Amino acid sequence: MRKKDKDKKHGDQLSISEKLYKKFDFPAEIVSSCTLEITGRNEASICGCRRIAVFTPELIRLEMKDFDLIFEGDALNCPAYGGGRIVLAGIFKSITYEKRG
Amino acid sequence: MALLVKLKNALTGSAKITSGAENTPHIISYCIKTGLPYEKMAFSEGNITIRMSLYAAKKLAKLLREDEIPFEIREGGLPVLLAKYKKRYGLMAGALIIIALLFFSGRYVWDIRVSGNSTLTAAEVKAELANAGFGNGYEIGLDDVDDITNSVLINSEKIAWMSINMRGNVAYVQIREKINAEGEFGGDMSGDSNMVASRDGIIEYIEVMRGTSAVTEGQSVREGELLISGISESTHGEYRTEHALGRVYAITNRHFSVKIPLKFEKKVLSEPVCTKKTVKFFSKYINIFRNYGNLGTNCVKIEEENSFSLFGLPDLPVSILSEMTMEYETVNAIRSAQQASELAFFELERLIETELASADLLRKTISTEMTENEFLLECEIVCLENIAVSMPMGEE
Repeated sequence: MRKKDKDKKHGDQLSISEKLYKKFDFPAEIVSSCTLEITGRNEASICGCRRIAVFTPELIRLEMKDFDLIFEGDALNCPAYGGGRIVLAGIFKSITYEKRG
Repeated sequence: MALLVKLKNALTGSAKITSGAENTPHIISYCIKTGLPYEKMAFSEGNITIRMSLYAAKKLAKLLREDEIPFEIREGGLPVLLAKYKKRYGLMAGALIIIALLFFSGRYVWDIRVSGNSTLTAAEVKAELANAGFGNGYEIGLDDVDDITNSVLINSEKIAWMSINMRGNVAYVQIREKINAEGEFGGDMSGDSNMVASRDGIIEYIEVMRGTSAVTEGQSVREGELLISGISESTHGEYRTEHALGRVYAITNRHFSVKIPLKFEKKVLSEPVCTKKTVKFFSKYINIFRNYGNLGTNCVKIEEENSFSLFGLPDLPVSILSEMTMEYETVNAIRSAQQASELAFFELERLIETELASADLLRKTISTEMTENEFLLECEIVCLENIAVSMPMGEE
């Protein structure tokens, strides 16, 4: 039973928390441990990052709670961090969510 | 915003940590894991440099050392500067004294600047303020300024209006003096009076403010002669009396004579017998030196106040008061003819300035004579002056 739930969570189906905030119409940032704000194609602000797995000017791979967030582009940089929020800057070409495990 | 961040960094201290670019993911991951914020990241020549607070930099440096990641740390800001001079107790004490002085001195009046005065001097206005309890060293309190102004206006016979504006530690005092009608027209303003000639002259022009003119332009008048009458006739043929007012300008001849003796007595001062030195700091007096001696019968006391100013700025509220008491003896002396001449001309100038302050000088003839014992200076002046003076009725 537990394995089934885990599979569902990492699969395309929604997790229980995601189902809950959808059901009760809670603001997403209250329930979710990850928020991503993108301004144009030059700046992104991410909450809930656990670790930086890869850091090059062309690719930054952020490890989130249960997935990886991959930024590809040019002159990528990480100019600031504070209050649990990391700021990425550069010229973004793509942003990819990749499930882990 | 950037300026505020710079100010915060300068006050609380900041540090730059530099490491190889390959360590970037580790460094940022350490920051994320331990919640250490950083403000700026820059890449140059294969290195990464991040700027963060001093506290965060020390914690990050500890983590990097534990994991044997090579790095350099550069610290800056006020805490670093203070730590550098921590053992220099003299400097620390000096800095603390300066801060304390700045804090406390900001609450007191350092200087008073007077404007709007014409006949009164700034020193006289300051003396009036001092009588009301306001002066250098007075503790600034906005509520008190109105009380001080009112007190000065009630007690002063010469100031009609006053405003005190505090700008920092400087009190800007604006005043308006009372227009003295008595001084303007001569005599007491109360009671009925005429205006008479104070000396002989030929009248040039007449300004009658009140009363009836009794003379005409070009007329020659003698001393005591009626110029403006305080008795006027009404349209019904009745007479009424009033206080006559006006000016009567006449060409007059004035004679001044100055005698300067060649032999005179002068006082020769000895060394100071008693000396007293006091430091005046704002309105507080601190005695720093005093010596005593036996004073004779003939003594003179000389007081001197030396103020300090820096770079041409207004005087600081610190001054040294010196008080010297000296004995003197009177000795006979002889001055040369040149000295007597200079003294006579100086005395003549002083007399003219005193006696003919408001007159226009038209002609001046000077003759000198040197006798065996004195230098004589005779001066004839023709001038245009107001000769009308008030004379109460019944006193003629």
